[in-house]
Amino acid sequence: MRWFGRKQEEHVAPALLSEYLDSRLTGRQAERVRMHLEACERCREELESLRATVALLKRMPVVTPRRSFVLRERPVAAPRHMVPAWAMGAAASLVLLVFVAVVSLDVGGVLSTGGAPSPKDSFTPSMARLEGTQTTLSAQEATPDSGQESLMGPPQATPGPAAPSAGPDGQVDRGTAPGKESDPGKAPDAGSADQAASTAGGSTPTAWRYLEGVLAGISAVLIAATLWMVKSRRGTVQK
Amino acid sequence: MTMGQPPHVFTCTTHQPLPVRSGKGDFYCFNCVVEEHQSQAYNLAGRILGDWNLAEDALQEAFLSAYRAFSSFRGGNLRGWLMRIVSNACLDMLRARKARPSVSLEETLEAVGADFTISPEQSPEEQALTGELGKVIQDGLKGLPEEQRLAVVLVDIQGYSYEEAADISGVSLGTIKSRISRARAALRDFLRQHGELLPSQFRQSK
Repeated sequence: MRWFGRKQEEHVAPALLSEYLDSRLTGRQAERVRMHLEACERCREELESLRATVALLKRMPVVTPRRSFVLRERPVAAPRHMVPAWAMGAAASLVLLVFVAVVSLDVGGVLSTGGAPSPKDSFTPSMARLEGTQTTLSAQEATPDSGQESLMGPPQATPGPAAPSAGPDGQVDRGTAPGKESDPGKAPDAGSADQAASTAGGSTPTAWRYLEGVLAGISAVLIAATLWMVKSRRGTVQK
Repeated sequence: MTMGQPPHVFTCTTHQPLPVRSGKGDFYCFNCVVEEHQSQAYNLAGRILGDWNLAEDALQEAFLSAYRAFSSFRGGNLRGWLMRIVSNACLDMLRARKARPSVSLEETLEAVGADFTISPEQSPEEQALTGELGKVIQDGLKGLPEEQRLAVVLVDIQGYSYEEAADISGVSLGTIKSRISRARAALRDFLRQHGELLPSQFRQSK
């Protein structure tokens, strides 16, 4: 705020004059304005014109409402939803989170190559072991297939259950048996494991796709519902 | 202006009690709250909107919002809380009308005008304020930016303190000070232009 007073041509800042008019200035500040006003005709005139304006405003008549605004009946609780918007938002994020987790597990190959319960376990130590047993695996021509399966999960998954007895499916089934502690190092045992898993695990890749689809659908619906609830409330509730 | 009224006010005589619960857990009769503040709210809305029909619509909307959002009132200054909702409703209405000016505010203003009745016991000055002068002042208010208009209506017409006006407008005290000062200067110039503020009115007071 610009102060005044050093030179004769400087005047009281408008905001200060306005406050002076409302007797909001105290002590030294009020005193300095008063001193300046005594010496400065222009500021005095400014003050008096503002005083006259405020006097007119203060005497504006109070208008009586033509009707009462008392609420005749308890208003319908329209914007109050069965579930509050924040809960809906939380549910949406939760489902979305599960969806993302499932997809990333799937893409990361944990679900389709199986074995390890968490991504960390499956990637670092077992990969190292895989390298160690490369020879045994490649002898069975297992590596190219299982590698492809984990990289290109979705395209290969669809024909899988359609032809359960086909050769490459054995590899797919072995991998997708969930929760099974199948050590990659025990490659020679793979043959018997395949047979055990092929009956039950044949439909698993589609089941995962199905689950992903359902999760995506649910989260989309929940997100849409949340947005709608927030939008419908914004019009009525002020801060 | 009954500001320091205790909570739990149920003085229902003209209506059914309509209990509402504040965020602090106190019960109020919402309609008693309405009855206590509606006149002031109506005048605030009317001065901001420059139209008493619009003011009724805005008030209706504001009281409904207040009822629904009553749990966001956490004790303290109920009047300030309510007037903030009312002024927000008015500003929203002005913005909506600006966005789609199908019915211009000018037209409604002309059509409605100031519908005060001049009573015989009013002084000549009061009669002027209800009549022609009142209309010029309302026009002057209309020419102000909305936030300045709100500030000067709250402080100079309705008599709120700077602090309360800052609270209602949701801005700092410094902002309110500068808005009031600008609004007063602009209104002074406007009234001078329209011959309602003659130099003789204030020169003599030297």
